[in-house]
Amino acid sequence: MNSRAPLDPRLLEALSAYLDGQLAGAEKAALEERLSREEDLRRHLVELRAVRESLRALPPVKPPRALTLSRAQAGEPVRRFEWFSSGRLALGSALAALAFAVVFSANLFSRGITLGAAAPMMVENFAAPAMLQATGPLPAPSASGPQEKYGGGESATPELVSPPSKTALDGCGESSGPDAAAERCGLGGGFGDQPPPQTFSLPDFRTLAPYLEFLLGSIAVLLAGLAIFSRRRK
Amino acid sequence: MDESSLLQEARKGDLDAFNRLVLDYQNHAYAFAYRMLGESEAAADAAQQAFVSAYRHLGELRGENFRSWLLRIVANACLDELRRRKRRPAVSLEDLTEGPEEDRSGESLSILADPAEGPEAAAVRADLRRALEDCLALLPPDQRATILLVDVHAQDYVEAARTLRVALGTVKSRVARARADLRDCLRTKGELPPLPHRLESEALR
Repeated sequence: MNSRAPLDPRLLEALSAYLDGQLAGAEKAALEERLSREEDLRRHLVELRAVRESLRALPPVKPPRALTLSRAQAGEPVRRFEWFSSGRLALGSALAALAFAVVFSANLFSRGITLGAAAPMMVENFAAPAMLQATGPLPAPSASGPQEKYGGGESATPELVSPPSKTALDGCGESSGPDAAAERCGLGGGFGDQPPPQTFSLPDFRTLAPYLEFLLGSIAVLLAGLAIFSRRRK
Repeated sequence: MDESSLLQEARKGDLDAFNRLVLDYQNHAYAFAYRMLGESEAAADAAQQAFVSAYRHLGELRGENFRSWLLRIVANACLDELRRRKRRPAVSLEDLTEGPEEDRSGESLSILADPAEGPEAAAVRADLRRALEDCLALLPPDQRATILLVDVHAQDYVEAARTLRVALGTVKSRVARARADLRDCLRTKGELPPLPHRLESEALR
């Protein structure tokens, strides 16, 4: 009773489409003509129809629980973007603003030091090459000790730098001996030795500070804007 | 409130409005997922994940029928889940084809039974249903998704092609192949529905 011979895939497609009313015109007419002649083809059609009806008759199934979404589930989508929630953005903005304030203050402070008490030291150090030129070639190291090495320079130092830093250098070299004066005035060890670290780190920071201020300021403003945008979207 | 109003409200972020749509379509989405995955809990998870995804991407639904759009998301979720299982099989084929225990209970099957039909007829229907579900589980996932859309969820070929984002010819061949495979499978289980006596009139009906 069952159809036995497997159908050609094209014929099977045509038969299935015919069942669904998807064939038209000449194709439909040709298939109907064959159906009227070939009993095996009719068996195939009936079986395919039976399968279709069985599928259509499958009973409805119900979910084991309601599938409604909780607030948390609805928010889950943006788990990846939770890093960019308005709260975090606002916090980031505040931190960037704080960092900006710290850098800005430090920059102001460093400039204050430079223009005030630190100025003479800077000037003295920057004046060193000029002074060396003024004092002429140094004596050979073997000929004299460290104190004698810059002996001529020490007496020249206050004169060379005195115009901008006279008050700061008051008491240097006159009442005490040259060595003590040199120590008090930060000249101990001579110009050839390592300079105090802040002498070169301060200009570095000052160069960097405007960029840092700009960067941190921009980040703070950008994050604040994103925080406001994110809050509004909610 | 009608569907378009609910959609409009849901787009604005009204979760309650969206949940009303979920209640309207959850049986539909779950039924598809259940027939695709063969497991009740996995199907509920896939359907719910599809609703989450739909809620997130409501803005992308423009002019398309919500039901078709939702079924596409469910179908994709199920196909992804089946691909994931294939890569890391955690469930045996036997588990997959047997389906959940709860759906084999008398209580569950009683839903199928027509109150007017006798216990024998109900048992025959239940056997056929089981056999059909087992055979469905043996189909390749793409074929299974297509035949479910067309024969269970009553989509026409064009709609099914749009749902699965495949060519019309692909739907046509998948439906034909799936029906032939189901027929062969049911026959081996002795569950092929009896043929009518008058083949001629039935065939040309």
